[in-house]
Amino acid sequence: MKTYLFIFCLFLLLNSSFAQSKNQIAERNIKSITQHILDERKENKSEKTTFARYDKQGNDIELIDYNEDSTISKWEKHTYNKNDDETFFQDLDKKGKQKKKVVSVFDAFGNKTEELTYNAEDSLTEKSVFAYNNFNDKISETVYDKDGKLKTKAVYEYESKGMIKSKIIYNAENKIIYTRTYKYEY
Amino acid sequence: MKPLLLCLLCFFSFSVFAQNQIDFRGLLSINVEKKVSKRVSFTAMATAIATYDFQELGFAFIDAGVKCKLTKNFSTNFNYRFMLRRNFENFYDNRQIIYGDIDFSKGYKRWSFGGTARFQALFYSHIFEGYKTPLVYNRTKVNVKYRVNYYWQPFTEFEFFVPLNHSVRKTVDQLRGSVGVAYTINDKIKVEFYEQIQQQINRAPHNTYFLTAINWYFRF
Repeated sequence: MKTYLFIFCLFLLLNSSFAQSKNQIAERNIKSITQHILDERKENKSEKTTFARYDKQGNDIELIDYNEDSTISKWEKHTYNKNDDETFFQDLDKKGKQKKKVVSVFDAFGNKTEELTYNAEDSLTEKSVFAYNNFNDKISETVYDKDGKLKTKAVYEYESKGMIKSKIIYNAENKIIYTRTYKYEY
Repeated sequence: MKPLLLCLLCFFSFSVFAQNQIDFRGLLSINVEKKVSKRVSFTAMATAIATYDFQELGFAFIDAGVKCKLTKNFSTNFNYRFMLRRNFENFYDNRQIIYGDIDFSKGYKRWSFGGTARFQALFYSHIFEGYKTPLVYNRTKVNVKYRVNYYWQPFTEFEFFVPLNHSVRKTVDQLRGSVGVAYTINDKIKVEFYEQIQQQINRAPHNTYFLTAINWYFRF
């Protein structure tokens, strides 16, 4: 019994020692991290500041990169559901105005079923619909334009151990425009 | 005085062992699951258990059921079992069980923690045994699994049985502890090997069974 307990504790210890930074952030209730980077290793020295805000699960919900002159070079906002899937992404310009927005919908099993992309004017530009088989493997990804017209359809196939076997993309005319096949050696 | 005490002790020990049986058993089961949608699947299982140190077929049963995955972490199933059980006269009584499970499982990195709450009603064979009230049990299981890689997954499981309508037994009357390993051949076929100790408690006799099991799983 003692031996089992010891092995179990050892597993837990090993597991915790390989913790990801996301877990470290969540465990410590870190709300945000500001990094100041001064890099003089190359001829052109660089200096930048990054700011990241986190939710309770340690997911980055806001990322801002600043240039040397304190102007914003990148600004992103993210929202996650309880399974840590990204449900909302917003790309902002330096004034905080939306450049792009992506809204994702997930089913009860954590599969992304829809992805809606919006432009700066907040109008829909693209809609992707994902389909899965009964074992939750993604079998197709269909992309529509803003008017609901088919743009492309990607079809996925899997081998017996659940690894992707092929990806084939068809255009609106149902013509193959891309193929990728995989071979695995076990 | 001392020899008498020793003699009494020996006699007492002997009488305890005489009442409580220790048996080594073997189990082989084949489980088939046909998924009809992401949520619903039909299941069937055939099981044979060799008893008396693997010498005779003690139990054989077939199960049929339906399983419903409610969320990523919760699922439920409802099953019917028809069982043949070898009695002391070397005949097989038939028994029927209906049972339902609520399963929970949650993964954390390579670890997986799960539990099952089972409610089962056992119906006796009235022809062989006369009328007996169906016996209702709550069986609760907890398990911990560790995924080494795609193929290997050692696990341990603990289960206790609580009779809900037994005339005498009012508390936990059986404990089961298992240690084993699952080997995934591919996404559709998996095999499990485990050793289990089944300990009857709070009843007489309180037998101990050591079970060696092989379970095959086929998913379509």
